[in-house]
This record gives sequence, structure tokens and C-alpha cells, in this order.
Amino acid sequence: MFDFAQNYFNILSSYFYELSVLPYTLILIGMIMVPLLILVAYYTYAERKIIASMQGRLGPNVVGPKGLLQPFADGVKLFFKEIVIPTDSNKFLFLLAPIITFTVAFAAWAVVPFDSVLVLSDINAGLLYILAMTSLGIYGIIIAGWASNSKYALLGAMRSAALIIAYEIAMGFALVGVIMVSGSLNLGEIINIQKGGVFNWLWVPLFPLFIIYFIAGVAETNRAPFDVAEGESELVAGFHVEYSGMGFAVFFIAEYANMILISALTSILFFGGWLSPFSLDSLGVFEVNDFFNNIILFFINDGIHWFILKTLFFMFCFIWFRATFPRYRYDQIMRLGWKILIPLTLVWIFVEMIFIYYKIGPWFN
Amino acid sequence: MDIISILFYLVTSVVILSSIALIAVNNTVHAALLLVLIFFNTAILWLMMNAEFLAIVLVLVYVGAVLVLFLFVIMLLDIQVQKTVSKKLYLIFSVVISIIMFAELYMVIFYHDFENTVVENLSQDTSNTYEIGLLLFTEHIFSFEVTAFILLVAIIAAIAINMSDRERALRQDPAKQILETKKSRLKIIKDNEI
Repeated sequence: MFDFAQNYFNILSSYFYELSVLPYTLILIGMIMVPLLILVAYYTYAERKIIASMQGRLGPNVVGPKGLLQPFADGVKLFFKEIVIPTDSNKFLFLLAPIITFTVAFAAWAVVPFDSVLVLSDINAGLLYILAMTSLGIYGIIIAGWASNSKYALLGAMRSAALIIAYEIAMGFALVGVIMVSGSLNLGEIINIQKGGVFNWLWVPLFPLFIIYFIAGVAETNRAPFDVAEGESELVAGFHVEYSGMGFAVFFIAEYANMILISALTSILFFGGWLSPFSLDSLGVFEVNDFFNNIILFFINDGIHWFILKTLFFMFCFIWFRATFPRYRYDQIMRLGWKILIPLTLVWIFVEMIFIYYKIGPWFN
Repeated sequence: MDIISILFYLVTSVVILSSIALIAVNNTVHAALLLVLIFFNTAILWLMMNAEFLAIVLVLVYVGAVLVLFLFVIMLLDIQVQKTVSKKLYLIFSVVISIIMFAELYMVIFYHDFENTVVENLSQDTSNTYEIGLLLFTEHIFSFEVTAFILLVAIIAAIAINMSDRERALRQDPAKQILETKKSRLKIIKDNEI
């Protein structure tokens, strides 16, 4: 009898040991999620402010000092709004769609390295994982469009699906170019091979692929100038036209999280992530070990602040595009995707093969 | 039973139950989404064997691309839940097919020597993307190239089928659009000229 209890206790304790990983991981996930959600909130504020100043308006300036509390006011408003479920809609799928979109948008962050040590899951096939997760985002859109039982929503979802399928191929090929240089799918290693200053980053040898990747990223997040999925002049609001209150808010947050993800990935893959643009060997100025030099050295050295800075720049580009470009027509988008971007990536992959064969520059040694 | 085996039974039961549900549900969109669930859980099974490359590629290719196209087509259909009409011909065919499949499975399971084919868990240290790549491009290079060729033929065939209806298809001519000028589109008529 005692033996049995002992045995039982052993099994239980092994369960607890294995489960003890769970709260620790949950805390880490929270440490990524919470700053990200705050960033999303202020990204919407930044978007409204920047576009306003580009168009000679003031933007939100009433709630809080300089309108800084506006995102929270919006959040509270959306939270207390009634959720309307359309008649004859598929209720289960209608409610599931925003959840899928939200989950997938944040799941991809699991493998993003913020620093040389700050990464939740340092898996070998990190880049593939990110591709898989971003390709799943389309399910939320398609299901939302279909379950809404509305023709605008369905048309928006169909447009979005065709767009994402088309641009995912170009995006994948651009990533093939990166993998060819790094020889690894691990994001940390992709950053490590870019060490040694701004011209060792991959944007130099892979410039066309960088441009294509960013264009495909803008298209995949359904942002202007590729926002035909919600094109308000034609489809009211596209796939999320029937969503109100929190349903809409969740789609909104997921869209912005995806934009931040694409920005972060562009900075990781082509701009060296957390690497500093200066190479410290060539500087050689800060030999005196006093307080201020150390501070300057900290900012010049590699670190998470460079990653954040680069990501913020690309996030700004998203807003910039929206304020600058008119919306593409649907057939123009398809032509750009299939007939221009995909052949261009293929050509550049062949050019890169030549680079690799002749071991050109600091990138292909 | 450790946590891994509990997870295993959980995931496999989801796979089996959703496979049954897949053929039982009337709504085709639900069926397609159940297929997504099955693929996802299969990916989890592979992930539990440390085959991360296969797991992620399954999600990427089947869930992220193939099933999206499936859903794409299905959602444009008019879905009507209707009672299945029992036809004798269908019944005969289904019985024959299920007997054949059962016989095949029986042969595989009971005559195959599983003793020698123990599926080993891959080690966590080696990158199995690298290992699979190495195998594909050395040992299995011939079958790999043949597969690639067959896929290429399939792509060309798909395009050819699409091209055969070119005459009636409505499409834009980008060259004409680019060559349009302000003069050819817009004619300004002044009041005094009328």
C-alpha cells in the first residue's frame, strides 16, 4: 500500500516538474504581449497623428495631453459597444474568426529575437515557423468573410485571400534569398552573419529582395496601397464590415500587430536586427573609461535599442505609404504580384548564386 | 503515463474524432475547417517526435496554401444542407472500396514487420532541416528531381487549361493602359466653340 502511494507521488511530482515550465513560459509570453499591445495602441495614435500632420491637420488632441490618451478612449468605447451578430450568420465561426486572427498574429512573435539572448523560443526552423504563422492569418479573414453572411464581407475576404496567396510566393522567394546567405533558418544566426557594420547587413547584396519582401509584407497585412480587402469606397469595410465592438477591435489589433511583425522581420532579415550600424573596431575613439564614454559606448554597441529603432522606422514606412499612395486597382495588384515581383525574385536568386560562387564581398565568405 | 503520452492520446483522439466528423458533417465549409484541425494535430504529432521541419512545412503548405484554395472554392458555392439520397450504385461502390481499403490496411498492419522499423525520435541538437536537405540532395536526388519535374508538368498543364479559353476571357491590356494619354481620354470643349 505504501509502495503504491510512493509510486503515485513520484508520478505526480514528475507532472508538477514538467508543468512548472508552464507558468514560467506564460510570464515570458506576457512580457512580449503586454509591450506589444501597448505599442499597437500607440501605433494607432501615431498613425492618426502622422497622417494628420502630413495632410495639414491636427489629429487627435482632446483626450489627455496632446491626445495621448486617445487609444485608451477608443479601446474603452469599443469594449462597451454591443456585439451585433448578423442574422443567418454562422455564429460559431463568426466569433471564432477574430480569435484566430488575433492568436496567429501574436503566435509568430515566439521566435523573434529581440536581443542576442532575449528570445522566447530559439528553434532551428524559426523562419519557416514565421512563414507558417503569417500564412495562417488568412483563415481569420476568410472565415470572417464567409460567416458574416454578407456579400461585402465575402467579396473582401475573397480579394484578401487571392492577394495573400499571390504575395506569399514572392515573400517566400525573398526569404529563400536570405536563407541562401545564412545557411540557416534560425533568426538569431541570420542576424549573426550580418555582423560588422551597416554595409555587412543583407540589404546591400539583397536590395531587390528587401524591397520585394517589404512590398509583399505591406500587401499581406492588407495595408494601403494594397488595401483592396477593405477598400471602403467599394466594399464599405471588407471582411470585417459586420463586426462591431470587441470583434472589430480584435481584428484591428491583429492587423497592427502584423504590421509591427513585418517591420521587425524586415529589420531582422535585411537590417541586422539588434546589431549596431557602427563597427566598434573602426571607431577606436572611446578608449577613456569614464562614465559618459561608457554611456555612449552602450548606445553605439549592439543591443535591443537598435532593433526597436529599426522596427520603428519600418512601422513609420507603413504609415507613410498610407498617406502617400493611392489604392491599387485589383488587377494591377495581381499583375504586380505574379508578373513582376515573382520573376524579379527568381532572377535575383540566380544573381545571388553567382555572388556565392565567386564569394563576393563580406557577405558570402 | 507521462505528460507526453497524455498529450499524444489527446492529439490522436482529436485527429480521429475530427476525421469522423469530417465525413459526417453536412456543411462543406465545416468539413474543410475540420481538415485544417486534422492537419494541425498531425503537425503536433510530428513536433512531438522532434520533426519540426516536417511539422511546420505541413502547416505551411497544406494549411496555409492548399486548404485556403479549397475554402476559396467551397465558400463561393451555394451551400444547401440536404439529405443524402441513397442510391444503390453508390452503395455498391462504397462497399467495394471500403473492402479493398480494409484489406490493404490489414495487410500493411499484420504482414509488415514493424519490429525492425522502430521510429526513433530525432535528436534535438541536429537541425533536421539540414538533415532532410542532405538526404534529399544526395541519396534521394533522383526521386527528388523526378517529383520536381512532375510538379512542373502539372503547373504547365494547369496554365495550358487556363489559356485555352483566352479568347472569351475578359482581361486588361496593361500596355494599352500605360500608353493612354490625357488627350486620348479627355476632350475639353469650350463654351464659345459650341
